[in-house]
Amino acid sequence: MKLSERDIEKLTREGAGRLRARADDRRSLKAEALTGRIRKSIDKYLLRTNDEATAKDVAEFIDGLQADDLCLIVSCEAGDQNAWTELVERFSSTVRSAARSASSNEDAAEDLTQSIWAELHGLRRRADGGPAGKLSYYSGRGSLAGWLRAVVAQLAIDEHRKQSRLVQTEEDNELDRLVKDAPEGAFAVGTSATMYDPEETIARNVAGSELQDALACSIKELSDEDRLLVKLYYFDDLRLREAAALMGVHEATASRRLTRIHTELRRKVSAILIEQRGWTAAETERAFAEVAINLQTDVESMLQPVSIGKGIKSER
Amino acid sequence: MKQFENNEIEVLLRKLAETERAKSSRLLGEDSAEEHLDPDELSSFAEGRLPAATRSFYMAHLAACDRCRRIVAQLATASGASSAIREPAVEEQGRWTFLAKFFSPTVMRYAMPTLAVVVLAVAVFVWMQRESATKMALRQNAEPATQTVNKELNGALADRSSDSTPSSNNSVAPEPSEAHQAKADSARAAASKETAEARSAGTKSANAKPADAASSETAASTPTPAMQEVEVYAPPPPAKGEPETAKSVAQTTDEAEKKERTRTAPTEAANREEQAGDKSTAARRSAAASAGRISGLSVMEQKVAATRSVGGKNFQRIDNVWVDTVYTSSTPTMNISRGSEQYRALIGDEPGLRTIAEQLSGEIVVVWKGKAYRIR
Repeated sequence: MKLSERDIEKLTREGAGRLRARADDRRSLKAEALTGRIRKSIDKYLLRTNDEATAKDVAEFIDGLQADDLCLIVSCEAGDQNAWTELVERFSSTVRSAARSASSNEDAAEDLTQSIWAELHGLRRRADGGPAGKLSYYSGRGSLAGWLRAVVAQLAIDEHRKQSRLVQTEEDNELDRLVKDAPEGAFAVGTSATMYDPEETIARNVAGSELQDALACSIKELSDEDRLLVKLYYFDDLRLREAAALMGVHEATASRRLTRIHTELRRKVSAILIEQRGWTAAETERAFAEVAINLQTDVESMLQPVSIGKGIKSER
Repeated sequence: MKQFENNEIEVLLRKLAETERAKSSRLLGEDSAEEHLDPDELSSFAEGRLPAATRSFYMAHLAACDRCRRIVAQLATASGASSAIREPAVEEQGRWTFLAKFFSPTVMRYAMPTLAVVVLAVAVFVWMQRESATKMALRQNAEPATQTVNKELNGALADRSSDSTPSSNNSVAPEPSEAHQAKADSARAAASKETAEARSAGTKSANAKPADAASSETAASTPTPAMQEVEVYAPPPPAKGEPETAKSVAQTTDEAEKKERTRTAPTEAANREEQAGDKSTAARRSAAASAGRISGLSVMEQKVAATRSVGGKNFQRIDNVWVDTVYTSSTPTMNISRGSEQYRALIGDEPGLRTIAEQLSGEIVVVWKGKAYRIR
């Protein structure tokens, strides 16, 4: 039975009292100061995906919040300078380390660190006079240290994009010019052996690109969990143990899933090539074998199927 | 083949990933209209702090959004949240996984039959222990009573012998009842014809002749030193309905006495035999005298004296035959003669039977492994 608004408010008040009791340092906070933040967290992470959440679910959710971190952040938001000082002292090393990981050099890391604290504190002021920073976005569900690292990572990406946009534009233009001015066949792909047979090389590259297209389409057809596992393991270069942990499963479970996914992808790719591209089963099997061998020996050859495809008739 | 095919897919996946990364690096400058997860959502997911339904919700976005997924991956790697996430999941599943493994069908498939065998073995062992304890208790109860009665019988014999003639005194010596019976058995074997006649005259019930009468008859035909000793076993138990009392015993002994007198030689002959120091005559007299005194024994003493326990089986003396107490007339019986090839083969195969045949002389009816054997 769906909880009423009244029930949720009651549960939130009770949960706030328990959370405050759990905190090692309550910082003179009253339970009412926490109810708003707790209610937001409940709405965001529990009720949005579970309409039938019970009172027990709500109570357990509140009891799983980080009491000390939440009290610290709420105190900072309330303008408690002692709390802010403590925040900086406790987490400055965490922020600096995350900034260093996300930056290419020490200066960039230092700039990023300063930007983070400014973002957290906020230059604007709220109506109540408190700083309007990003601290209000912390729900208390995860750890404060993890949240700070996520803030650093996002800000770093934003900064990098801004700078990269300017740099990439120039590089792309240069690349296009080089391609345009290059003699025919200068960007031929394939192994050194195949360079003596351009037609075969082109055919192989086309087959490879179609294979990869089919593979990309097949990946999109996987379930969210399977697709995430594939992306984490192959695209993000995580170790299987780390990917499994993010998925919330054991490493052995993830390994079994990957094996199943491989089989499923091969079946889907074959189906796409045969049904949509008009390939035969024999051609499909041969393409798998040949492309896999070529890919193992020539990494760069598979990065320019589009360029090559411009000058020849492509089945794509 | 499957592994090889999976390897091909693995290679293709890695190459596709490289291609995608190269593309995404060129696309970094482009603003994505896609809404991304905020840091709180990213960190909560990376640390495994979200409810299951919410995790599934965010999985869909992370599977499609490279940016958010890479941040989550970085958070997981940098903070070591992977181990923190993995440990609770494993820890929560640990208890249940252990139980599930313990009660998995694979384990139960072998554990249940093994458990059943163990339980059965324990039950059989306990039953056997009880059976042996019961048998021991029975033997212990029987032996003291037997010993007590034997002592009294010996005493009675001693008294009787003191009343008899000097020659008989010397001959009659207090011996255990088993010795008495053994000697009487040997005398009886020599006069098997007369015993057979006596047997045919009646059944194995109370109509059977008293042992002392048989012994006296035997003594009359084949005088042996054994005859001077009274076979002090009680008459066979009365048939159904017949009360087993001393009075009936006395009656049978009286009958035996009469027969004894009729069969005995004339007085002159008896005197001659006596003068010749014929122990058999003295034995007859003593037997006759004892027969009259047998009635002085208690019914229980007579009963116990006529039963023996050999080889874990109980036998009753019925009409000069040791009969297994579990024997019934409906049991198929095989006749075997002592010393025959069949007998040797039987006792060779069955050591238990050998023990019984050796300890019980004379004719034996024993039930062994569902079959009855009359060994004579």
